[in-house]
Amino acid sequence: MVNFTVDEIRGLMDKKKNIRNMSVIAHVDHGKSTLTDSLVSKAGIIAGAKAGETRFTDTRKDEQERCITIKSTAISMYFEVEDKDLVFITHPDQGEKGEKGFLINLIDSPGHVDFSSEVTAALRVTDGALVVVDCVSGVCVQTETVLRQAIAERIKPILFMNKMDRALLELQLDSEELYQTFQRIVENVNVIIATYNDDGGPMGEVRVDPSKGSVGFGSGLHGWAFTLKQFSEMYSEKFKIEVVKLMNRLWGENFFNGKTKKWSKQKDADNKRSFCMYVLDPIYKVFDAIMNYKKEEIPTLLEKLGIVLKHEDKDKDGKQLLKVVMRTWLPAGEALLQMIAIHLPSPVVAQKYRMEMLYEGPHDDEAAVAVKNCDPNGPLMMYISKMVPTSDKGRFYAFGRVFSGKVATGQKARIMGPNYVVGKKEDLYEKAIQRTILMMGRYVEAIEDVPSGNICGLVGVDQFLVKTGTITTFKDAHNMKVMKFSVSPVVRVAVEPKNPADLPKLVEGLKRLAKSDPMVQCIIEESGEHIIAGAGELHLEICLKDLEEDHACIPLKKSDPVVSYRETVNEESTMMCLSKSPNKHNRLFMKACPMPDGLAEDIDNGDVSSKGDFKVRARYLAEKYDYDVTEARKIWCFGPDGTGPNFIIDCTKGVQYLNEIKDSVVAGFQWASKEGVLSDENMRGVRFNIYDVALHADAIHRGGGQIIPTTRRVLYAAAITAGPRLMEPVYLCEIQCPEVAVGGIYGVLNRRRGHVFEESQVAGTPMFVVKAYLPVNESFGFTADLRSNTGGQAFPQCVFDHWQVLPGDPFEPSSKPFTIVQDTRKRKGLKEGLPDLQQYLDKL
Amino acid sequence: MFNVHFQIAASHVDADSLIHFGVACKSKISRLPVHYVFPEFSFDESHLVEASSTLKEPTVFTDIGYHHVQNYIHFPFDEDYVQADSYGTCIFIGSDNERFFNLSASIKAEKWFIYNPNTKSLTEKNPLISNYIRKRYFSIEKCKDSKTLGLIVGTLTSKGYLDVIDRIKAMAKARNIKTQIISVGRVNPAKLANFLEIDCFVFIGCPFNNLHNSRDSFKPIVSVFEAEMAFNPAWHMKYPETYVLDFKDVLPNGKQFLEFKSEDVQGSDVSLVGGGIRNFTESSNEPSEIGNSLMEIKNMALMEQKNGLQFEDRSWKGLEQALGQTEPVKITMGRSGIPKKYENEE
Repeated sequence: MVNFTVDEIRGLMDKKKNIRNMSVIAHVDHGKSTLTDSLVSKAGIIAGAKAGETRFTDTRKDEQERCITIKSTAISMYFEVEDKDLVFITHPDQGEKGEKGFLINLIDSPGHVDFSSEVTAALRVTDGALVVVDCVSGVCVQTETVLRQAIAERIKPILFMNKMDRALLELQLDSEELYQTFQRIVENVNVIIATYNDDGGPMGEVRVDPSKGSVGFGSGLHGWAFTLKQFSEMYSEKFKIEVVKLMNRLWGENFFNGKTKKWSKQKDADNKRSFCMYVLDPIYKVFDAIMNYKKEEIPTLLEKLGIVLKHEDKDKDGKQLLKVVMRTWLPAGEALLQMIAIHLPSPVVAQKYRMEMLYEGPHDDEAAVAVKNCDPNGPLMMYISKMVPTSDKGRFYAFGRVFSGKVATGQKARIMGPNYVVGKKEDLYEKAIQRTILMMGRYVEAIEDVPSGNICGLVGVDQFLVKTGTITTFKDAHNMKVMKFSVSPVVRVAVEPKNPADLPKLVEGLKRLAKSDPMVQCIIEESGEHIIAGAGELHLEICLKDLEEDHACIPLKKSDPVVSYRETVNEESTMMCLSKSPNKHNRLFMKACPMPDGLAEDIDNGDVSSKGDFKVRARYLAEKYDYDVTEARKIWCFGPDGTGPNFIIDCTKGVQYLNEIKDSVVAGFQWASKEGVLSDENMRGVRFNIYDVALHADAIHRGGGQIIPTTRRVLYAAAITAGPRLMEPVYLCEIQCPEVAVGGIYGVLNRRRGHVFEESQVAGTPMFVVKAYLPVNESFGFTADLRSNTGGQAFPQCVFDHWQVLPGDPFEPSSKPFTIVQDTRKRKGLKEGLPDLQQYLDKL
Repeated sequence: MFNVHFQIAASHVDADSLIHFGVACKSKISRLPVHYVFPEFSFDESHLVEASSTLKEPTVFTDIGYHHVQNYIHFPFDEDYVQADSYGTCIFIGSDNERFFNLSASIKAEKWFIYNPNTKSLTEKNPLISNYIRKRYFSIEKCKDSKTLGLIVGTLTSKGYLDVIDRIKAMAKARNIKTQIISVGRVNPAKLANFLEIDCFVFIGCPFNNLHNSRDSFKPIVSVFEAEMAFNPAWHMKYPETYVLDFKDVLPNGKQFLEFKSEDVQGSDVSLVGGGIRNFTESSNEPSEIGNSLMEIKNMALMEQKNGLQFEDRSWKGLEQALGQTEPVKITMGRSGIPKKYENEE
């Protein structure tokens, strides 16, 4: 553990080429936090007495208790690369000349899917990612999700195979099998990388390769790790081969014949795979000697490997001795920090290709150029990715990354929320930064200013941002792009105070909760219910606990979890729908029809959006979905909220005054698409066509007051006549279990309307992976149910995947959608029963 | 509510006084003397006495049409309910309607019962957790979100309406919300929807109307008290024990008067409707330096007109002449007739 003063750290921050910002990402329980501990104990700076204690980055009490990371936590580390290793850093922007010290800002992130919004927030402020994979269970669903996100954010990955101790001790794999396991994981990871990254793209080749040293192996729990570089260094003397060349020989199809001393590319009777022979065999020997208590062999072996044990460790044996020996021989911190320093990009390198992904504005304005060059003297551009609660109730540190310029205590800056648009005043505040601080796990430290390329916290900004935002000093700066989460808040609970008089406290608490979590939504519905929406049951459980204990501090009544539905249609309206305005002088003629499959998702993903050129959009719609180009050009707007997955198209021919009522029609459409006709839920995947409009010649009689309510009515009539349906959210569920438990999984899934679409064995292990789609509504209590039906052997990971139409006509009183519509209407305090077409439809 | 229109109608004919038949509210009248004649519904008083025999000294309130029961029943009867501060057990004769809510929410009582003369049933109700009041909370939250507030003057007769307007304007100004005063005579959703740029309406007038929970209005309408709860920081962490209907009660000397201090207004807040930040300080327009130096006027271009309307957000800005872009066409016959059926329609 190195101890630094704030001034010394501030000095390190200026050497931007020697900074590495990285996150640790992985599937749940693959050992991120434990691995991070071994790094912290090696290189953490500003150490309190507690540093090095287990799960340093789990700062909350419940995190420690549950042994699960909930919030991502940043720590800074200092590491000096030896001269002989500096040659590995070839890129001129990857290190200041002659500077050995590296400042590593590491963010440990949660692995459970329910908290993957934390991962997203962590990825945004870092440039590299250490992907941890448990070599026993291999690449899992969450590994893939986070890796995909990382690539999409242009984060360079390196790989670490964790839990090698388990592979050796529990599974007793022989060395060739173990090599095959490693090889498979590397391949799997590279397949994912190749799917989402183009080698010719701006990031270049990002594949991980053991022979280049970008893949590490080891055990976070036992505190040892290595890359091929370590072994190569041990042998290069003996073989008289350069370290780099030898690394290539130690992986892949390279075999060595001990008798003839010849290398070969093919396996034959006498030779052996070099990786097994030179890397795994020594490790196996150590394990074998110590675990089987071959006392006489141990000293010679240790001498051979050049390991000198401390006096007090000499008496240990078994697992304890094994840990000490391995840790002394292959210290994890050293290998990992070398990997990080050598293979992960510095901010200077990374921001060059990340700028275009980060910045919404023109790529040649002052801010863009400064970000691209990571220029500490340019205008300040900082992205706030999350809020971290302070000890002061209700206040937060704004946590983020300085991409250009310097952020300083007392500096006056523009704080721009996600809705800010250049030139407008919405979501824009000009305020002084009260304080800049360094955030290290549980500790914070005030600092005068922070230059570009670094991660820090701000005090006093939390009042102007809910979750994320951009901070700049450049007047014409655009926003930095908002983060896209891989999960959606589809599970909701309603809360109310046990004592009605506590309502204001609840409201205040909800506001705090909304800030403290990157994704949770706290809303009050039109029925007056206070709703908390989260990614899954665990996420909600944590949010509710936080709300009750930290934010509102009052006893709460919680409803059972419910899901929100979407309203859609399944055919074109059976008739032309007409509605007249209240004064009967205006008539609107419309029809509704479903969007083709995939279009709603395209809108969700932003591939088809309200922004951008209408011609490009029309061409896209015409090519992919066979839309008529002239019609596709006349999309009036998307909705709800101007961006949702429904739109209204002008299909009229030569109608007078049509432009004049467009604003009113749009307002009515936003209204109707937000509160669907069946049960007031959002609409999804509905296309409305305006066919004809008859308007009063006098402008005063066709104002908003006449057109807005009429539009809403005609849209409702169009929806009712187009075969309205409900859509429900569906989880993609991945379950890992031994073969005996697979039967139990099918039983549970069948009861819950789930269906399995993939079942496979994890190669090299007895574990099976079952992938299934499971309606979110049926997922409550799923984990517990699954455990009891499989003897606690199956662990599901559920992540929202898509919306699916609920079979059945909601107008059929015996159908399931009918029941859901009635329940929803009742909950929202609407009139029970079904909407009446006659209320919305008029006759000529 | 009804009052206003009759007052206006009466002033058209230079009336000296009014006789009002049928359902009406009894807003304080400032201009003309009115005599009310209410309907009288049949009522089985013996059943009420029997049903309520277990209750201790109930106070009785009646819906319109049951006013005459006081002639038969010897309960401690309270005709003008504003007199006492709090009550024990209360009975409302009528059905569970908005009038019940308005009454029960505005009076502090231990227990509330509704006696429905049609079904002859006596049921207990807690007005403060009723669905109605929860829905109002949503409107209050929407009201806090608004950037432009419309003040609908629904009365020109009730005393104090000008004071209330001033008070709301002052509170809105402290939160940097623009206000517009609207008087549109009889209020209906179509009229209000013409004010596209207004985010929320405050109805200043008699509470006995059916505007508040109508699902047809495009933008929410709140009462004066609800606006007070939304904007007055003194209400920030307070939960009202009773609901105020008469807007005069929020004025000084009123029952629920809380002093408004503009300096207590917090800088910003999180909206529970949109999930964004709402900010009450217009920071971007702050002068960059505070000092005695002369103020610098940066540009002499036209001042921005701030009437609260954002026409720049509308897509249609006025007639497009498109000169020279359209082919000349011959004169054709236009539409004529009445909208029920125009003459050129089949």
